[in-house]
Amino acid sequence: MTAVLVGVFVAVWLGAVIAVSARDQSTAAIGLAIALVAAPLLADPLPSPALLGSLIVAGLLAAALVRTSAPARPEAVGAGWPAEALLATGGAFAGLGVSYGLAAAALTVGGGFGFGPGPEPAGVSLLSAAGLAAAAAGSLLAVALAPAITGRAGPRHAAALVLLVEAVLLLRTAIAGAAVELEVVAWAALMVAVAAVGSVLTRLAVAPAEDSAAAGAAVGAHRPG
Amino acid sequence: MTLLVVIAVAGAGGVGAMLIGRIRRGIGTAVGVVAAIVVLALAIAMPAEDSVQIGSSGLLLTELVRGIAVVWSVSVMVLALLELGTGTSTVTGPALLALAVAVTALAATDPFTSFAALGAGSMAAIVVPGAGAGLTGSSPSVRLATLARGSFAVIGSTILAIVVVAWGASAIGPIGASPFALAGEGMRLALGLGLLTMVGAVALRSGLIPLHVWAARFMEGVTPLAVPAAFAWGTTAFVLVALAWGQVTIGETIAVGGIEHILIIGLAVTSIAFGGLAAMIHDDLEHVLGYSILQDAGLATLAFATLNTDAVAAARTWLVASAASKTALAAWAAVTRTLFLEHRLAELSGWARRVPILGLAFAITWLAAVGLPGTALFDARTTLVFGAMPGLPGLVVLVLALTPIGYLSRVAITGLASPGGAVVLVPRAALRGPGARPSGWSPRSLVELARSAPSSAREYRAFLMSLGVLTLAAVAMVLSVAGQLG
Repeated sequence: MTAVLVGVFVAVWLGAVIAVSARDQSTAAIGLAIALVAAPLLADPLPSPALLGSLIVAGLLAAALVRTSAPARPEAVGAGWPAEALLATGGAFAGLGVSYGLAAAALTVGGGFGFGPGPEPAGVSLLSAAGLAAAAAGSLLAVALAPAITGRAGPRHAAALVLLVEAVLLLRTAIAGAAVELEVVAWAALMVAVAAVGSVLTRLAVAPAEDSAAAGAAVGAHRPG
Repeated sequence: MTLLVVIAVAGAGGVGAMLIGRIRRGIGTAVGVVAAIVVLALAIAMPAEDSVQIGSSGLLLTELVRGIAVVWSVSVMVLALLELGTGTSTVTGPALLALAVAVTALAATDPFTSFAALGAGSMAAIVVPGAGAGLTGSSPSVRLATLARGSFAVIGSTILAIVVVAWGASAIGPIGASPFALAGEGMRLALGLGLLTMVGAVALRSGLIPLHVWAARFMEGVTPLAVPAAFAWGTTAFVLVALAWGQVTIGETIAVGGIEHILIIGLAVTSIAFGGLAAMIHDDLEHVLGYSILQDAGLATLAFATLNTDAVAAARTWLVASAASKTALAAWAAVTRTLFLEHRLAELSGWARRVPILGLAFAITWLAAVGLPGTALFDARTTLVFGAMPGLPGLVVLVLALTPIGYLSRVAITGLASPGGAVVLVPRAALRGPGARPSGWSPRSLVELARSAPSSAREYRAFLMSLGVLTLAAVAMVLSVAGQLG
């Protein structure tokens, strides 16, 4: 099971790096889809088929929304794939560290909360589903945070927003356990909504200036002053 | 099960209204109105013990959920009709969608579901009006920056809230930790930080000062009719869920002592003071509306400084009643702007004298927003302020919280002055209402009457829209007097 989970983690890592570093938008969308489809599989036990299906369909829909939001033309990318891969790896180690620290603190009586060091956390496993989910969350956060906050609107920014939401879902799963049924539906809706927002922003960003001006003039009829 | 049907109808109606409205605006709005009527009927008829179990989680009907569904669906109906009158097309769909997620969030038994659902719904309420029709008068780059900022604020607040809820539910959080760990000083610090993070999420979502820039830019750009779903009711749902989480996870022991208490009060008082001041000095209706909503959210934030039962109950009353009064104020602003083709107060001298029904609606809104001693809204304001700051500081903040008297009276005085500016430029015929009905039955057939309805609606547009505002003002007044819904 551990080997499978590690394989799934590698898929998330790889998909995220491709999504934010590929110049070609189709390739970036495929990377995004890989990351979003693989991420829900980082769980032990797996969610029910219905819940898994909801998240996978939402992920594919989000990737499609991001892909169709802009004309297929090469986009300037940030630091390039080697740098993004390094960032994602660093983020993964940070995620693993957080997961290990949390598990150790939970095992230790009052550990980290002012009661001094407790017994050695012998039962903590780094390569558990929770640990790998935290690592994947760290990877996604590392590659998505900067373009999501500072990037200009475009397919890469939209992909970063979606990856950011996925990262939070993974982090939440890693530290607070599996999501309940209704929550999974809400997460799926949130992911699609964020992708739709990214898509709208991309469309506004790439729309020809004259279209925007015409739209503004038409709407201006009801906004005097 | 009826609760699930309410959510499904509101959600599907909202999506349907948005999609159809892109092709045929009128039909899209009609779909929204029909969905709102169905939601209203179902919300009234829902059995008190209605609940839905979905796996290990569920939706639980409370009187608050029912009340918000009723009030919001009535508001959506009126806003939809005003949308037709004002010529906009991006209000009904997002408002219904926001209603669906608010009901889901408030009825859900776990906060993860609530915040994720609110995040999804808020995005629609912010982006659809902004991208679809509003934010005019600014360059495309400014419009894009405003929308990007707005969507990031919503995503950011959702993420902050979910991360802090996840911490609370983790093995080292207050829910999962051992009682031994809970008593430690480290846990006290962690709880304080958790509370501050949640308040930060609330501040970001509701645009409290100093995180208000995105909210101010958004509100000055879109039609005021889009503001209730995005801010007044959207913020209400978010704060209510955050308060419920705070009561369960943090508790009043943490909130009332320490630096957290002072920081939360500082944030709230900044918004109360500067929100009221900004509403007083700004000349355009959109800013008056926007800063007044921001001030209301600031006052509700005071409940986080105590988290006791009285403060949370007062916040519930305050949030619902003030959201209803700001919905009426938003409708008034939209109608005034449409009728007089002007949005600056300096140009609206005598607006109330020209359209007395609109003036009456504003007077009721004034009463609902300010409240009178003894009414639920006024008492909630007093409880929130003195619960967080007893004595003289509380008295000072209460005076600051009563600045709506100033900025709303300024609007009223402008309306009662001699007509001037843009008001006199609008022909009286365009603002008239139907005259007295001639005695006896109308000689026209029903078919003729039906055929003439659209032209009559156009002819008496000002009168009908003012009636819509009056309806919203009456709803706000009832909530202001009667108080909480649950």
